[in-house]
Amino acid sequence: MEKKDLKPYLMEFLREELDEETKIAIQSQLKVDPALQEELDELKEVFGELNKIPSHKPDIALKENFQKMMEENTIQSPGLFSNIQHWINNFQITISFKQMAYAVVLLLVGFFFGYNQNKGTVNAGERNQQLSMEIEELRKNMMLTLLEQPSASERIKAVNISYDLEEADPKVIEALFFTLNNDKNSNVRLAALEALTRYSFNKKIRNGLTESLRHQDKPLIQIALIDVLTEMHDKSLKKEFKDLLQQDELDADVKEKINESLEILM
Amino acid sequence: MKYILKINSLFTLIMLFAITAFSQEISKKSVIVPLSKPGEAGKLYVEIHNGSIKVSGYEGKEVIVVSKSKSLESHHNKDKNSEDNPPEGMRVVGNNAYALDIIENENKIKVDTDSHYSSIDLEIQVPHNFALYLENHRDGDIEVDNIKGVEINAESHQGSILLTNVTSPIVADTHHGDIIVTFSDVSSENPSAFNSYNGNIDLTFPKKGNATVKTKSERGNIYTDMAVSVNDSEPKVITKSKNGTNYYSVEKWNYGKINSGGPEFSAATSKGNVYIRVQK
Repeated sequence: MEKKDLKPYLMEFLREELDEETKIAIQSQLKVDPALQEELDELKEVFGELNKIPSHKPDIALKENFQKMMEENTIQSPGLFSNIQHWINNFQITISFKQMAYAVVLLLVGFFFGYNQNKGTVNAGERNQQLSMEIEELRKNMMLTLLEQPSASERIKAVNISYDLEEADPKVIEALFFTLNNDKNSNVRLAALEALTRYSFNKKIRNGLTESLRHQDKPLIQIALIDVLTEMHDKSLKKEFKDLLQQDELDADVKEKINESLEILM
Repeated sequence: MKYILKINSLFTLIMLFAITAFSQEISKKSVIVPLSKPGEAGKLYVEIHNGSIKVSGYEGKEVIVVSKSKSLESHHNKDKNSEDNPPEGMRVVGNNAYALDIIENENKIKVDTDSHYSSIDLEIQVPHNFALYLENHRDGDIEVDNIKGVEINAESHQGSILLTNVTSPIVADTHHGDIIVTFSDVSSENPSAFNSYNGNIDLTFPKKGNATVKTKSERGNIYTDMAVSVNDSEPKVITKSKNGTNYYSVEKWNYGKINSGGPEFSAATSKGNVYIRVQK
């Protein structure tokens, strides 16, 4: 075996991974070939140095950082949502302004076509009704909002809006009663009373007004309430009025009014 | 009463003092209240039980509160010992103590007194653009002069409400007193309302003002100037129907217009008269 041929086997020879035949061949050659021996010594030296280098154990922080990085990457990795976003972005870019304009025109044409088709079937009366219902709703909401204003004048305005409402909406009635029983300002309470008087043919509202009389302490409002209640000619009010007469510190004008009312109700 | 909640803020300025007065004499004390936002609009709330409230607008940037306690003679159940003949060897030096609290918070001023036991007359000067919320019960009137562009609320029971050189909207009521108002301007679109039981309501509008007046007096009369066009068409009939039964009621209000008509001014009294005037 030639010397050159054996050279590649020297590593394996050192690691003792060679088959017997090559091993023997190298051993015999080493005895006669100092160059090969020298080569082997050098290799041995290199191996020795390599073994001297301490093997670094990766510290825990490194592992943690790596894991953290992995996790972050997982989070940031494009999910379904970002894919869609990306897709939309691309989509917007690909639609030209012209295309967009066409789409809008088409939409408008469709809308008017549909609108005109409907016009044929819905008669004018129904449309007006729908419109007035919307206005009614608008007024109602405006009234409820205005009733919460700190200004007494604004609250009177709110109560006045209720006159424009066709229907006795339960929410409106409730708001008017709340105002009648709780508003700080007497004029606002009187305005609410007057607005409620319109519905006094309703038994529930009559009962609400009778109930309110027990809560009012201001003579001006007590008298106005007695007036309204007396107009209803409800005989059951007699007991209510007589109870009120028993109250201590009842204003002289209220007493006078009750006695007048009791005569009317006789 | 939301503003009360805000009172605890750092900007709150509280002044509290008790004043003692020698009997027979009237004690007078004045407090100058600086404003958190001088020159800006504000609100004044005054609530006293016994006594009068007089507020006037002026060119200044502070609020000046002057309080006077009334003579003892008519307002106290006299204690036997404090009568004209004090115990031998003693003399009267103090009586009629009352507290006056003034709270200022972001241009909102509240004046409060414990006037259930004493009668206090308040004279307050405020910048013109201070909205007023005034309430007294007895022993004096509510007077306002020279306030512009803000709402005035006034409530009394025994007293009259006298407002001169003021602008709409105004919301006022009293049980026994009159309500007399002279407007310098009625251009606000918000409604005004006046209610009395025994008193008269007397409103004077500016010559060029537009207003719709809505008046009612149960036992008194309604008087108007020639300049007020009274809506003498048929009274409004309110129709209600319920379960096939129809109800009709004729409205009690009288309507009138000043110039082209405008925001609503309602004036109602039971036993007094209503006067609607236009400045000549």
